[in-house]
Amino acid sequence: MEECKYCFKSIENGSTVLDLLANHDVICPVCRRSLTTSKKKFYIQKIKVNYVYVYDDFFSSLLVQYKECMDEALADVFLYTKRWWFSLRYQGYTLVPMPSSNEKVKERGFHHVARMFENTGLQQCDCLEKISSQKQAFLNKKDREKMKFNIKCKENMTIPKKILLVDDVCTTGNTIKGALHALSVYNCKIKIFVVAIHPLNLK
Amino acid sequence: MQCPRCRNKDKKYFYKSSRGWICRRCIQFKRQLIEEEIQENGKVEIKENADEYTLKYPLTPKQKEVSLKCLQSLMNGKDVFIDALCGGGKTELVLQSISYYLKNKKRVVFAVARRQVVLDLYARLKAIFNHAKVIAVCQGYTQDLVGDLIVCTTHQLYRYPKSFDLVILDEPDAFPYKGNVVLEGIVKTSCIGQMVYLTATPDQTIKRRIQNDELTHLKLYRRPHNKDLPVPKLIVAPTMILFLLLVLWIKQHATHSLLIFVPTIQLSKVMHRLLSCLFVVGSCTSKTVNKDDIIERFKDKKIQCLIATTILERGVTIEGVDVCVFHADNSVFDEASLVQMSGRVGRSFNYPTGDCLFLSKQKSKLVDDCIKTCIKINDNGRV
Repeated sequence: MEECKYCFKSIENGSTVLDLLANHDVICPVCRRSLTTSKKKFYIQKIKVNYVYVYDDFFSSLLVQYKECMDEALADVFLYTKRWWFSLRYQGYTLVPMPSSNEKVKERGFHHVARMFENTGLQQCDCLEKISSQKQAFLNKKDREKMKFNIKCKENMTIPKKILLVDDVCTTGNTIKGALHALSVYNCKIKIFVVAIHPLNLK
Repeated sequence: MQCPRCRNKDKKYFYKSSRGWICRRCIQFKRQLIEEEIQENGKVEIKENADEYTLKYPLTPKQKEVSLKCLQSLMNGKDVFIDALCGGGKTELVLQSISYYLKNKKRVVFAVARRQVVLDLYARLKAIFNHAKVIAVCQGYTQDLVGDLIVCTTHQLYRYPKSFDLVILDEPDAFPYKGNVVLEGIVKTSCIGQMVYLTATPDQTIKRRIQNDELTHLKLYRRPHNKDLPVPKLIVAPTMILFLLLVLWIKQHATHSLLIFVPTIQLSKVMHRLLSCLFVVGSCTSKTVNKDDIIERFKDKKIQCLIATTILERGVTIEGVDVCVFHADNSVFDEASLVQMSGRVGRSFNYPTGDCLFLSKQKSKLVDDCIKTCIKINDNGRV
């Protein structure tokens, strides 16, 4: 019997008639329904930000378990139901994950953003890096704005023509603004995708 | 394959990550690789006169007897279970043993299921062991992790694998420890010596271990002030009438502090709204932001009534409080929690008696059992 990857109950836990028609999933319908979605639109520098979920308590606990507790098994959970849609929509694009500090990647053993998007099958190019490694969660709004200038392109890297910037959470949008700033010198087509968006951005 | 931290053997919780096999049952305490040996984190030197303690009041002869028996059993390397009633001074019973272990430069931890109780107990132990470095480790208090005597929540024990020669586990039948296999495993991993269980309401596991003679069973059925445990009064009526009775009860006991237990957070909100028209009321649930502040104000008698969920059911001592349990027949409460809630009454020397009222929608076996238990304890204590 297959279990839900988050609550370890049966994968059929709380499934309805409609769930019989749905595609295979790795977490149970109850957990999947706890993730809230939204239809509101959000733009960063006139580029539409596509997202799947709203960053609420449930998503936060999921992300903490994945990122801080290093639960690699949860990597597939985030985009599992969207993976076909994703690979069709962004065909020909190269994923560029937001940079994570090297120490963190070393400690985890995997790059948390890149690993999340692995099951979509798109090509990835890790061409961005942080200038100084500072944890954003401890910063206030003003200091976070300085993050714009904290990201640069890696040297000796060919920058792809069609880029899809991806991140786990978009709170203030400053990391993405920073990436846009770094990529602005190269004349390439850019789209943005984040897994979850902070509800403050959706007002 | 076994998880070195939570002792899990179930295959479904293991996952092969890029770093090797991990246990996902206890993943919330950060990743634990299966091949990795758990290392004890650094030796700690215990201070010279850490074992000295002063109690402001003497123990009763019965307490002294139990206290000594507890120490003797621990010296023989046998775990102890102290079956003492609520407000019977369970904490005082183990002081002698703690002192003995500290004297022999062995590490001691006082593990409690709930954060609120940790802070309460920390303040008390700090006043008693005034030479030792007592520290509290729980959510919000995690900067300092090194001390002679540690008071912590059971969750925080994951920070101290294979560290303690004496683990005192307070209320092992309380949420969230009760039935939580991960926490049980973590407690076992942190202990390399003896365990002491303290509770008024033992569960099946402990009862089984007593039958198998793995535990020394010590009993204390009398509170230090030698007064009876207040036996709850039961009223069965429809909800509306119960509410009117509650208002009446609050008016009758206007001079006392009143603690009203409700089964759900939802109900606590409704009650808070209704009662705040008539009285000075506070409410304390797991969702309340400033819990510590509200409880402090309640202790200072600035709030007359406090509406609480089971969060305040255990370990909290409030002077001269009367207790009412609203909807006592609700399935949230089991017999243990009912006994504990009625045990909030009459805990101090100044106010040895008090009033306890159960308001119930229908007759229920659990409530009857609870009342019977109270009467039984009183009968046993008098002999």
